[in-house]
Amino acid sequence: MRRNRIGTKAEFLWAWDVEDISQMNGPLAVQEYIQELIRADSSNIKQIITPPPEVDIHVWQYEHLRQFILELNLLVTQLKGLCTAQTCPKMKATEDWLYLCAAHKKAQECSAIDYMIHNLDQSTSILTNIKTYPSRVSINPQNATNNFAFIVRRLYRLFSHTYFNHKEIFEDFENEMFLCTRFTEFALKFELMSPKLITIPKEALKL
Amino acid sequence: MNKQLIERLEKLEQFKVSLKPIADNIKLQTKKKFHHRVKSDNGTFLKNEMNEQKLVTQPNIEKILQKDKKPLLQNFLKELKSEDSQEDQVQNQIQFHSPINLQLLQSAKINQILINQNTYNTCSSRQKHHHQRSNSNGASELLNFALQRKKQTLETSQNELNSMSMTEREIIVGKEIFSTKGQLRSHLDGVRSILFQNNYIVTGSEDCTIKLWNLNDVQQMNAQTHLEPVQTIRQHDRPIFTMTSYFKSPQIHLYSAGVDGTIRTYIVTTNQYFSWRAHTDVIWSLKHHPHDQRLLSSSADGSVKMWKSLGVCYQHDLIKKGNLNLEMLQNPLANFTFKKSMTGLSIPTAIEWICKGFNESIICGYSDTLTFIVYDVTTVKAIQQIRFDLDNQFNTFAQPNRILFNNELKYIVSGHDDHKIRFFDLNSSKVCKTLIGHTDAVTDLCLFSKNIYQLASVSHDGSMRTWDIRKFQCLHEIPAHKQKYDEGIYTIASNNQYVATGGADGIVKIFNYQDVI
Repeated sequence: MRRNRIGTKAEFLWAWDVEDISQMNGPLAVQEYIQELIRADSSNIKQIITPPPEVDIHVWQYEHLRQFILELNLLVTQLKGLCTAQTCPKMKATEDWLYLCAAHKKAQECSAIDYMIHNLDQSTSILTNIKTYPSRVSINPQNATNNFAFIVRRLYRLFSHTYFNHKEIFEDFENEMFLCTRFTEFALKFELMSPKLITIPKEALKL
Repeated sequence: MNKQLIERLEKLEQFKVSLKPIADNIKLQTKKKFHHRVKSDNGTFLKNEMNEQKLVTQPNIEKILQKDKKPLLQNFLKELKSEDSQEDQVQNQIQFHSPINLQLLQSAKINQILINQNTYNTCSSRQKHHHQRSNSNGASELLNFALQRKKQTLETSQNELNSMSMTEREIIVGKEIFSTKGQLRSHLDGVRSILFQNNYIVTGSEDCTIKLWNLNDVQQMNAQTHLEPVQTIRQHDRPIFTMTSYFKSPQIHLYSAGVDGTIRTYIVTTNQYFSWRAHTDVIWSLKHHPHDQRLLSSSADGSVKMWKSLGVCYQHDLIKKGNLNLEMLQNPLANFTFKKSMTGLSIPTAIEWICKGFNESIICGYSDTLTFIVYDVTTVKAIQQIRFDLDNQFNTFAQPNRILFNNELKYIVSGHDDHKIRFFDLNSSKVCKTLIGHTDAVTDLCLFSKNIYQLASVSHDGSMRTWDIRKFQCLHEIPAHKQKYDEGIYTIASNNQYVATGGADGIVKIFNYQDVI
């Protein structure tokens, strides 16, 4: 039984083995499989991002993006109190770029923490919209190509801001979750982001 | 003041007099044990009705009337309110006095049967199996009887014809009691907890976020509306399993907890938050006291702890740098533990406050024992044990996942891992009814605020069911959520207008609820 019964102790939560996805036939099998892989070994990036042959490529990307946003929420939670409107009044990675927040009718300068939260809220909103993504079993390829690259490019800025401004948090988080590494590999593998835009040096990642 | 008081007393006296014959008859019938019919079996009920009426004779009542010392009106009112079996007898009494009412009542019964048949037809064959086994649902015999009755009534009188058209209308409405209002789709993983609080719907999820939704927005929405939460609270760094809320005017206090053993508080109106490490393992349930500043938490570490919860928080007294400094809250008021075996503490799986007037206690259910324990809150001692039996057909766990107490209900209701919903009588410490219908573990229960005799339950089988808990019948079965792993629906909540269910698929479904019974 793959169930966290009420009363389960922390060590036994989700304590079932990674399954063979060809044997998984639930409506949310792709999400189940991705989460199982991450829980089993989050450093095994290659296996986590390689789509099994039977899975639709857009569904695969879609579920990964949802998972990235879920985990990026946790990065923002870590940054709260340390990255504030006082410490980072503008959303910057290196000094060269200033990002404007596109979550408003007219793009505006938000503080870094607001930018990141707005960005996450907006990305979540796009991916959970009932009109564009009514189903998680089949994804309209048109919607995928329209949105995925856009979302990936914008989410990457959360990593770059954290890396260049809050390095300790970035490293702690990366040591535990391998999230930026997975994200970078994912973006490059599916060509959702140009390699030129990858600003975090390879040494900082856990390849 | 005195004048008013005297006036009130007089009115009360009059009421008492007018109620007296009815109340006495209840007593009489109870004494004669007429109510020993099987309540769930409408067929026998209808058949026995006639006999009962013959047995109740006027002289007997008068005798009792003379004998009886005048009992307190309030006692009767109490009895009338809480004892639903007696309420049925009041109905009998009305029938006894007027034959027209009798007819109406019978046709109402038939309505009920037809509505049941309606829901019965919508069930899949697998679930039918359950229906047939449980005597709380209409057997075919009963239906034939009902249809026969229907024919008879059609033939007999014009009066009855009128009530028949009412029957039809109710069936149509019955189908539409629940209509889908819309979906809240912003969570990225299973939704574990839903609260209706003031003008908000609050949802807590395994994706580690809490989202606040505006009820006015929900009111405007339809099935195709994409609604955005008004706020996303990112405080937890591990999945959230449980939430509870308390309205301390003018502030809404939210408490949430989950995998990390920490209780986090968020004050909606002032945007303040703080947290404290409450348990050494997963916290599975939080329950705020209905009207007092106390909070219960139960954890996989084997303890149930009672905490003093927040009062109204002002900017100047408790807050330091955005966080609240609340050392006073960080020591539990009480710690309730139960040890069944030598191996360790039993793990609590369901907790609930029992507040009857000034008597306050809590009831806990555990994962490894078929016993509920009631603790006195002040002495922190177990004062009562309620045992239930395990029907070994499923050969599975029977832990309670939810215990529900309501002051106006005479039972305690619990939803169990062995697919059943059980009703307990606190006075006799016994199980008095079991509902079967779900095909997997029952995870949560709620009563409708408009009609507390309707109960809704959700289960890992992915469906929501509603029950008439006076007749112990299933009224609706609504498939609501898709399964993720082997989990379906975690939670259900309602206000006087909507019912919301939260599932493993990360969606919150909102249903319109109309009261027809």
